[in-house]
Amino acid sequence: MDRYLELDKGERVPIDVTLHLLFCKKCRRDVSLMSRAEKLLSRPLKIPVPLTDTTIENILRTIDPQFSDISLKNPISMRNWIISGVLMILFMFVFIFSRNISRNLDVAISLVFAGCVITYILTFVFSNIDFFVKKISTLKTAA
Amino acid sequence: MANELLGGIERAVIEKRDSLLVRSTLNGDKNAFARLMSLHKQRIFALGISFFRNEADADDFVQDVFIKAYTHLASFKGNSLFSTWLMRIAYNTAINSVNRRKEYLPLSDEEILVSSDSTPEEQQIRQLTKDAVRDAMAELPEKYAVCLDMYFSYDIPYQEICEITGYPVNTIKSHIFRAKKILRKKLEELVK
Repeated sequence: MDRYLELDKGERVPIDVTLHLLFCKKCRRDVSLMSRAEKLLSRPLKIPVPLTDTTIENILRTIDPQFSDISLKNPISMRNWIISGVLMILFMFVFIFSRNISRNLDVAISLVFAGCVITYILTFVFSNIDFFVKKISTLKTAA
Repeated sequence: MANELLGGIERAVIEKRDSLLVRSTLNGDKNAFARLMSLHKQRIFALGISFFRNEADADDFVQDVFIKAYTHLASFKGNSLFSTWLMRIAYNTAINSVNRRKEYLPLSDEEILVSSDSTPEEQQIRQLTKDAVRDAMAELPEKYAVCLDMYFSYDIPYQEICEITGYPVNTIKSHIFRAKKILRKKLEELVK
């Protein structure tokens, strides 16, 4: 167990320690509790403060006296993401089923649609990356 | 194993997110810098509380740190996490500040580590961890208290603590090891 305690954050657990943990229920429970405890203690400092926080606004005004706090509002709400996603899919269905397209063009159009869907998903993920980071942290705590 | 993997993914996502925000800030996007501040303010404020012991000074400290970070952002090369780079600026600013108190106030003494969304069991584990860190700090030279806080509360690995504080990595490692042993003992008592 001491060898496990010497490990750094994110450091790979040596194979012999892993094997020991597989067979020793007590150490496995201790390791699980330890990593949960460490996660729980650091969690509060990872919570983002709102963008409209006074200190943040003051700093932005110091950096740029022309700064306006209106630009800090989140431009895209979840409702708009869902509506635009559904509209995009509807448009694709309508387009595909309402026209007679040659086979060559069919492949090209499918590629364009696939590109649109990938771009939409990537934009969604990177615009809401905090949510996904938090989700991974929660999974890590649970594991 | 799963924990390690998720930890790696989490770190990679955070690294990518912060480097994108840094790049956008360098291209003149103030909103991107606002996002960076929103993500890291809590940690800088907590460090401010430990060194200055009052909210007004800690707030001034946060402003000072972020303005320095903005001014020197071009020197961030991505060799470490943005959070480590920022913590190094914060730590040096605090150490060099004339207003700071002589003694470091451990975060385990502060209510800043309270999270409202936890279950009673989680609160109990968190309290035990805070107690363990505090007990370990009691046996340490005071200057190393910040290392334990950085590891347990700020979630910073050994090497990065060494880069921020300048203390030898083996000394940091041995102090944290002692704290972990105390924590293990306390957690064992919890399940008994």
